Amino acid sequence: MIFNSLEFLIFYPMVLLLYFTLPKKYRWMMLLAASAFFYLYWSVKLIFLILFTIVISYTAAILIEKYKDNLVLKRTCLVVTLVACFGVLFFFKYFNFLADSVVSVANLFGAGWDDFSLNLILPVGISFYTFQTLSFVIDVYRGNVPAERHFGYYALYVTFFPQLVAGPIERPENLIPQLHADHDFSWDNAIPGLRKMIIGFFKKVVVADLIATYVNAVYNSPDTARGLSVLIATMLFAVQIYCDFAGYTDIAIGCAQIMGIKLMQNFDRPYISTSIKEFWRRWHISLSSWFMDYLYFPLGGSRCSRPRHLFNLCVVFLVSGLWHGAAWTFVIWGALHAFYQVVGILLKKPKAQLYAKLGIDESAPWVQTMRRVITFILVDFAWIFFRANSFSDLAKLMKRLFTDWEFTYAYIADSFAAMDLTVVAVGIILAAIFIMNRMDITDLTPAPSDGTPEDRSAVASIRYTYLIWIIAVAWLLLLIGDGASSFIYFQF
Amino acid sequence: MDAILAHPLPVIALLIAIFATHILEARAAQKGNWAALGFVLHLVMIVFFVFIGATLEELLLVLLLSAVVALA
Repeated sequence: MIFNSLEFLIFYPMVLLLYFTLPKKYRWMMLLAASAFFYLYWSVKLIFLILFTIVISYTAAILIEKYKDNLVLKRTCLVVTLVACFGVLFFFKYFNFLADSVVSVANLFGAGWDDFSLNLILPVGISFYTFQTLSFVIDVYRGNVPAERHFGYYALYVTFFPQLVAGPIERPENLIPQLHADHDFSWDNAIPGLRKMIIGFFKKVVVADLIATYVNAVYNSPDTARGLSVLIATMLFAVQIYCDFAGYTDIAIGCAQIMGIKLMQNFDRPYISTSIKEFWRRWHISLSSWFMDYLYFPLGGSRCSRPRHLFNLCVVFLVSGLWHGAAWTFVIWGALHAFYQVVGILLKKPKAQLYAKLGIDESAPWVQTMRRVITFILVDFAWIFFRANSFSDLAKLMKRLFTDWEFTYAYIADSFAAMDLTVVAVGIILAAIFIMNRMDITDLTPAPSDGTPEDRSAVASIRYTYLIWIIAVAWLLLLIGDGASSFIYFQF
Repeated sequence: MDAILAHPLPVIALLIAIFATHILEARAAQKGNWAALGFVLHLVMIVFFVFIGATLEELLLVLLLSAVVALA
């Protein structure tokens, strides 16, 4: 079940009604059943895969705690869990990628091997719940959290439906105590939660899905694209992927908040970053912090020699690229971000010396703006690798982007025609992006005024009503045009 | 844009009235009254757009423009 479906609009109020009317001791059962139902909408078979991961990690955590004084047994439990969980992830997500790569390389040398890839379905959200499971086991191993003894609550921690298929990747110390706690219905939770959901729906249905049409027109037909259309589509894709993923996260956070459960923040206006390092502190925060805590710091982080530090960064970004998808385009995307970071570190000192020599104040607004623009260009360029359907498409798109330029009216008209982009569509996109940005900045809180608090609250309510109309109209538009889509990050 | 172009004057009048309520709401002490009036005008606009057979794109565009003015 996806959030932007009619089924969810029926499912979620029913869950809320049951959640707040059932006695508190039965709530976990209801939430677990609701989460299983939510996932079963995709596939019945795949629920057994989650169950396998839950059973393995639950047992391992209890054994790790039991053998906390026996390092060998404790470590064995951890290694077995890592192998089992990563094994499942590897088999379903990366086996065909590896098989295809091996066959391609072998055939390059004239081996003449047949394709031995398997007919596998990628389980929805496998990367998310695997990482969430492993953070629990590793934290128990490190002694940061106690092992959860109640199987039901642990299963709910892994499968809690708002964040099951696309995060945020929660940490046990944040989510498990909240699942155990009793939550009464409160307007203080319900109103901000509902607002967050509306903002999420706006990002997804109004901005991301409408933009997707124009991005897909270019990226799915690179042969007919022009240089300008590739440039516009790539800039729009930066907005699309943010609104798609941040929209999902906002809906998830809002859903949980209404139930009194606070999920972690996953995005913090990433495109205002003044460096790639800052971008990764603002983009997919739950994954970035996961990699920091469980990969980067164990490798040595930055408290080591310069070459080792750069090596650690490269490993993290290559793994991050691979986490996003089983394709070489994702690996290159990760490698490109690693390259940006490495160059950034190497140029840090010479850049500071140059600024000092030229007498430029690094905190000056124009310098910050320039850094923001450069960071956006670098991030956006990397998105081309992320979005391209294949290597051959990537090559065509790059060629168009860097060579296919003319400065005539016919060329501009041709570029817009290649995307089916009309004047009305440009107006809709610009207005939607402006509103989304304002919502992100202020979370739609009315500006301070001399009106009474009740008065300001009435204004905010009416503005949210406008947003609901906009969402409804956009949704209808997408349904008529068959454009309503799943979330991009589900494939990961 | 056919429906809007076919009825330019009422559409412009409605939009000016809606934008004016947004501006007055921002400046007024009692914001709720202007916000409520704006809400009623939006309802009138939606009914009018349905009545003249406007497309969803046209309706979406004017709603978004209204929201832009409200948030600007």
